[in-house]
Amino acid sequence: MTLIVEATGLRKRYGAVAALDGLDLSVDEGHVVGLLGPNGAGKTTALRILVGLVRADAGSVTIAGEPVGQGWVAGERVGAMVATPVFYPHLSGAENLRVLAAAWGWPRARADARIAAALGMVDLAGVGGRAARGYSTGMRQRLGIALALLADAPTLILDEPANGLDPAGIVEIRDLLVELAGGGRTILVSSHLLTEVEKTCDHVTIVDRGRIVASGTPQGLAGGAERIEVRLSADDIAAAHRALEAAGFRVGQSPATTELWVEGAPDGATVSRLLGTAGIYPDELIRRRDSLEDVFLRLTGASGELPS
Amino acid sequence: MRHLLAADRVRFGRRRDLWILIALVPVILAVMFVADFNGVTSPPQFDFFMEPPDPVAEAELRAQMLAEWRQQMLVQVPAFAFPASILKVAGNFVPVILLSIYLATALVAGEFEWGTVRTVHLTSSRGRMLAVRVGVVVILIGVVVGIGLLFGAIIPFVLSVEGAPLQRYAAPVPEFWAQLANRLVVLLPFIAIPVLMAVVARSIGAAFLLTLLLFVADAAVTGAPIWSGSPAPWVPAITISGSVSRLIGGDDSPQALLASAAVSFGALLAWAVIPVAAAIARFRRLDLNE
Repeated sequence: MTLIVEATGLRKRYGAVAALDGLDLSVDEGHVVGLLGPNGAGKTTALRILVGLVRADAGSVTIAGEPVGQGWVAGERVGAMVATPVFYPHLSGAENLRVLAAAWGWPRARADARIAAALGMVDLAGVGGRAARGYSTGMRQRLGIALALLADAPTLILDEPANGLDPAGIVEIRDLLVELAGGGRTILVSSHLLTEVEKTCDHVTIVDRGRIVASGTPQGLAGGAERIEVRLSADDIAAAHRALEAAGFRVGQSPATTELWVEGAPDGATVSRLLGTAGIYPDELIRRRDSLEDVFLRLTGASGELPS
Repeated sequence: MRHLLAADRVRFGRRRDLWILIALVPVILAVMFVADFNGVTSPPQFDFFMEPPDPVAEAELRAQMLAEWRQQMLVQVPAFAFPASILKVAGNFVPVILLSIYLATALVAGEFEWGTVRTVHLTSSRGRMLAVRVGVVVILIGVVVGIGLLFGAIIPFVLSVEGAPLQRYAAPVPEFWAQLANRLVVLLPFIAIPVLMAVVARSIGAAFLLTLLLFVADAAVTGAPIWSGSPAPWVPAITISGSVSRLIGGDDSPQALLASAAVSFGALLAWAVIPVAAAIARFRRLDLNE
């Protein structure tokens, strides 16, 4: 498998704040990799460094084997949308794309065809002639994606592509990413929409405080820690805790609840039998596998600001 | 380079504000030329009365003052006839300088202000992009100056002095091309320095302000009464304002005693090249967090 994006030991400080603290990242050819992290985790800084907008204090980046440094230009090889999309307000959506086509020296016919295709892919074909200054947030986001898609590049780097989109728009962009990935493209997409990442990416990297805290397939990360949750009456908690620990299971208590979680038990029946033998009868017993959201929250310490 | 120029044509082709300014400045140059001409050729009113009244003496005095004015007018009028008229228009450079500062800051700092510098970065090497952008400003200013000079070449043929065609007073202009080059090179620092300020400030307003402050500081350095006894008495001849004064004012300028016109010409070229090179070097290293 060929590595398309390879970042090693990236460090970046803004004053006293370490935006990246030795981040390593790799994306194999033909894969869709999701970069997850809470606000301020360093996702956008990492993407800015990958496309050469920002220079790392330390570390190295190669894209398709070329070192990204001073003078490196993404050009037609990497389609990128990093941070909030911005446009020339006095130009129409299509003219904003034409600026890039002209800079790349495309002939008129090719430019027209690709502009129409890119606008069509993001459902802006009908409004491509309108001035970009009049676009809604969602339309601007779509135009940003169209800009990244214009060159039909084999590698795409997209920063929060579903930001500002309504639920139908989010589904459209998800379907578009799946379609683009099906065409063999290599895609690195940052997001905080966990369900979208779970559905579109075949590999997920979780970043927190400028470092990678987990990496793997969404299924692998989510399914890594199976446990059994046991809801009991308050009087039985301590006795149940002792009985389960004595059986060699790892036991914990969810804070401020009458719930215990048990790791290492082969199944719920074993736990139920063990507790019955000790004269304890649980109100509820649930076999649970961690979702990506659980893993994310546990690893990043993020609290309830994540969308469902 | 050609492709980047084509991209800039798409970028700025629909900037009506720019095109209005570009169309307006040559008109302003033409109006200033005609206003100057009228100022020189319109006889002044001599409103005075003698006490006690003496109509004969008053008439004699008026006639004498009119004759003196006419003599002065006839000395000045050839500067308005073609080809000297072209130098006259090129000498009224303040509107062009203001336009240069505005264009250089708007077209460079605007990319930072809008954040579109990120898109620019994806299309081409930064150094090449900025060099092309400076070229675009030079071309636009060239168009403005060209139209202004064209007005300067045409207008003298429709003006008259005391009923006679102005061109009757036309005289050959020694070193015409050298004088024209002197007047045009004056504009270059007023493009280059705003470009540098735009890259430093990353905002149109701040870049414009920094540019004005720098020119004020330059004028203060030129006028400071510290140079005559210093080891570097030639400094006022190589500042921007000093060089401009030397080239426009010729041998009558205060800087003429300090350096030759060639030195001031070279200084102005340096004031154009060094800031652009510094702007490109800085732009290539910048973190684009816009």
